[in-house]
Amino acid sequence: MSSRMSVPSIADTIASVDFTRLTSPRDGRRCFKEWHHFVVMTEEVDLLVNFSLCDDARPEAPPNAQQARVVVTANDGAWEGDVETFDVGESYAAGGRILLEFGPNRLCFEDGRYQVTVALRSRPIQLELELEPVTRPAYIPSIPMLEGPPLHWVVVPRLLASGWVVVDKRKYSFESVPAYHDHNWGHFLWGHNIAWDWSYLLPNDAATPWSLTFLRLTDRPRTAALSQDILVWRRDRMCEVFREQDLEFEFDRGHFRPAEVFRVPRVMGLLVPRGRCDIPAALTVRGRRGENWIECRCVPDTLSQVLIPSERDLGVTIFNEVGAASEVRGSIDGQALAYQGRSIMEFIRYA
Amino acid sequence: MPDGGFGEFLARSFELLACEAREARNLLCGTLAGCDVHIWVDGEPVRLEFEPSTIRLSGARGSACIEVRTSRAAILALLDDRISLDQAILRDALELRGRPADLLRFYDGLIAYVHGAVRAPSFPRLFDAFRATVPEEGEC
Repeated sequence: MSSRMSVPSIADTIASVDFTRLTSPRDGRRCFKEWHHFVVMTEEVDLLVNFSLCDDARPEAPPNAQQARVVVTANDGAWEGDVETFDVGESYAAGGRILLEFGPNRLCFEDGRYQVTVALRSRPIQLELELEPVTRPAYIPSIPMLEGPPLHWVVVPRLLASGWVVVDKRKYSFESVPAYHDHNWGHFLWGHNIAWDWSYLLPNDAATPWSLTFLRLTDRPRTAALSQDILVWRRDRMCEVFREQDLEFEFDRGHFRPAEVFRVPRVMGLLVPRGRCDIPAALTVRGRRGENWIECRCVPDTLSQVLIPSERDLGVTIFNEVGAASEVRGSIDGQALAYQGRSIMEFIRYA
Repeated sequence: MPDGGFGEFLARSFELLACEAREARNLLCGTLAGCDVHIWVDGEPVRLEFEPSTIRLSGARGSACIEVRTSRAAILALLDDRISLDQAILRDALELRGRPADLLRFYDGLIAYVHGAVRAPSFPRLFDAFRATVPEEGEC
């Protein structure tokens, strides 16, 4: 027997923690949710792709009903995208693996890469992505929630995406551009007493070895933080975690007022008056633990909103997807870090 | 969309709300109970009479608390978020008549209807059928 411990590959680690949980709706709680989220940022187009499964919480729904959704937004100077929902007969999800097939859309993890294929039915977007993880995943279980059991999170902050997208006849091909992935699951209803402010920050310069993501979960009025973290990677390994009291979130008093807000699904726009976006003009997140410190400043420049009917009441849960220019500086284990990047932050709000 | 026109579309949509989104339908009925609404869509008249738990449809006749005149093109523009309700009114693509208090009730009832529509799984197919009846997505 060898005395040397072998380090699992990034691909093996992802396969062991990022698999779809797919809790059976037969457990009777009817509030399970799970989603795999991807963002790809090229010089020409920003892409967001999200595959989700959600118990159908309506009292009229059959006992084991689930909704499968694909969310896609693309911004190449003009916005396009939609939220498409699929019947049980059109969707397949493999628990214990990373394999989701919703209509013509497919997500899988094969040969150490995520493969994503999307062809929206009602809007002119098609894409094929191959995403190679270049950082190891972090598994953050048991994030506390006020109503119900905890939320779970797997994050792969940095991948290299290659592929193509066609947006309304405009085709963009790209190779090894920065991308982000995460995966959440838990038991709760949209509309519960929860909100979050979350982002990743990838460097513009691919040679920069740092990547990070931060998250703050709060109650719905955002008066009490339930959990907050900054996770920092150097090359492929997570090298620092700032937690709870190590962190400070500072919101600029001014609000972000974008000239345009892209909203999907479009019909939901009837329920959310335009001009309502409770997003700060800038957000600064600071972490300090011992000699290690970090400061991230994010200045929003674009906004799209994914509007989902709340399940607890006749309200709307608003996922604000906020494009931002970011600046990071700090010192980790005696190594200075300083980089600029772009990110898509997410702020949950309600109407 | 059923061949029977906008009235049949509305009737089918209320059936779907009753089956798939009862909370929203109850709110719609409760909000507009005792109210008559006349709707003309591209000239086709529909009369809606709301009671606490029922909605009756017939052809528009006589007087009503609220009168609504619009077009299929304007409805589609609203569904596609190409125009907001206030923009539709300002552009005369949507005309509402009634006492202010009744118009506010109508707005609340309309929002309840939309909340039901976006929750009922069968609505997208009904919307698709409605969309197919509108010649093109031009200016409304």
